[in-house]
Amino acid sequence: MAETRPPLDPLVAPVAPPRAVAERVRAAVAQTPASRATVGRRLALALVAAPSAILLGLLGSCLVFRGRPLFRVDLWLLPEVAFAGRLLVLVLLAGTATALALIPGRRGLGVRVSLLLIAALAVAPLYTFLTMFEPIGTAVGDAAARALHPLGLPCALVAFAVGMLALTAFGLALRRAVPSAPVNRAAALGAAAGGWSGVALFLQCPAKNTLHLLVGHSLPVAAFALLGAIVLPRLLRP
Amino acid sequence: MDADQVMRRYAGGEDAAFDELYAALSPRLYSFCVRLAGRNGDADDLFQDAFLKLHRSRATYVSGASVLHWAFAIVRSTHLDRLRKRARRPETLIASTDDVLEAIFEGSGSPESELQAEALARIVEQELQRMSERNRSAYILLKIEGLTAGEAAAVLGITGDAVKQRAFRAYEALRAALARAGFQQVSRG
Repeated sequence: MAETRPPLDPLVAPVAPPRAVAERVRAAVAQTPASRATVGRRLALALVAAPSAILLGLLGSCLVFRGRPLFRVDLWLLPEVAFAGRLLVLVLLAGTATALALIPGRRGLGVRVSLLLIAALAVAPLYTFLTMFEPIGTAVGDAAARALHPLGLPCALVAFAVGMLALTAFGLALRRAVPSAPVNRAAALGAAAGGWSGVALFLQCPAKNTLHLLVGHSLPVAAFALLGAIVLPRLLRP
Repeated sequence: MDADQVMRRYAGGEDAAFDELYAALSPRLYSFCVRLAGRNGDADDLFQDAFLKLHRSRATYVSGASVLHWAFAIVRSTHLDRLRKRARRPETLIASTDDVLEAIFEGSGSPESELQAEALARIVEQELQRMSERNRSAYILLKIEGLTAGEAAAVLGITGDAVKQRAFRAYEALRAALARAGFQQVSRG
């Protein structure tokens, strides 16, 4: 049903700004360069950012932690359908959060604030459930996992690197483009970046240990929503 | 020409569309600034800052969206930025918005009715400045600018229910202020 417009207050009529103000505005506008980055270009940057961040983060981890493989050691031994299904759900989770945070919506002011809140709050618990509930693995992966840090601190660093790359790209994609609800939008962007860092860890780390998964994988994913909400709003506001 | 179409041209890089855009948007935006910021000097600065931001981020305007609602959101965001900057300095009550009120009531009827309307508007204006920014912005968008609850919610970045609640609180405060000043509510029908 269409929303009804409330009756306007008859006492109020729009008033034109004084001529001096108009001149000041014209002079200021003439001296200020405007961004040429269209919405389409910005969204394209964000779309490229997620897979690039994963690839760069994983490659970087191989260089920093010598001996750490690019992908999990048992990648080719894993049950294909189960692995592909789990990966697809994780990608969908991160992708949905990214879409909700980035798309401008029909009013050009982003999606409804309740959807942004859901995106910001749901990614970490869903990621934790999807990775900890009947984790996928093989004997080869389990053997490799025994050599990993029990708390998964290197994994947390990899997640931080991937998430920061994605978050930076998302922030640049929406730079000065969010006049409404910037904190909610920033939290959703952070959650999306966290979701992509979780995908990277799922591709690289064979660990099934609960403590490792919680501290090394889920905690960074959750932290990114908070980080986004704290760091990004200033960048997003016009 | 339709403001949305003008904005589309301006967002596409057509600098010459600025004058048309300014003419189309400035009365509504300036009035919004006056009601948000209260004092005339503040409203002028807010208007200038907001228009500059609108210009700077013009490429982020989404074709097909209402430019007025987008501009309202920019004004409100700019207003909140300015409030944050001087958060440690408590806002004083408005001095006056005389010029604006005079412009509104110039030649609007008999001298007596003009006086009464001006007194009424002054109380509304002062009470608006006295209430919280949240309630004030919701009331202005819903009752003065005529946005729907959904549109106001998008501009303010809150839910539609929250907009209605805040506007209702503002309305109640205004009603109480007018009653204190001796204005009676006239029931219609």
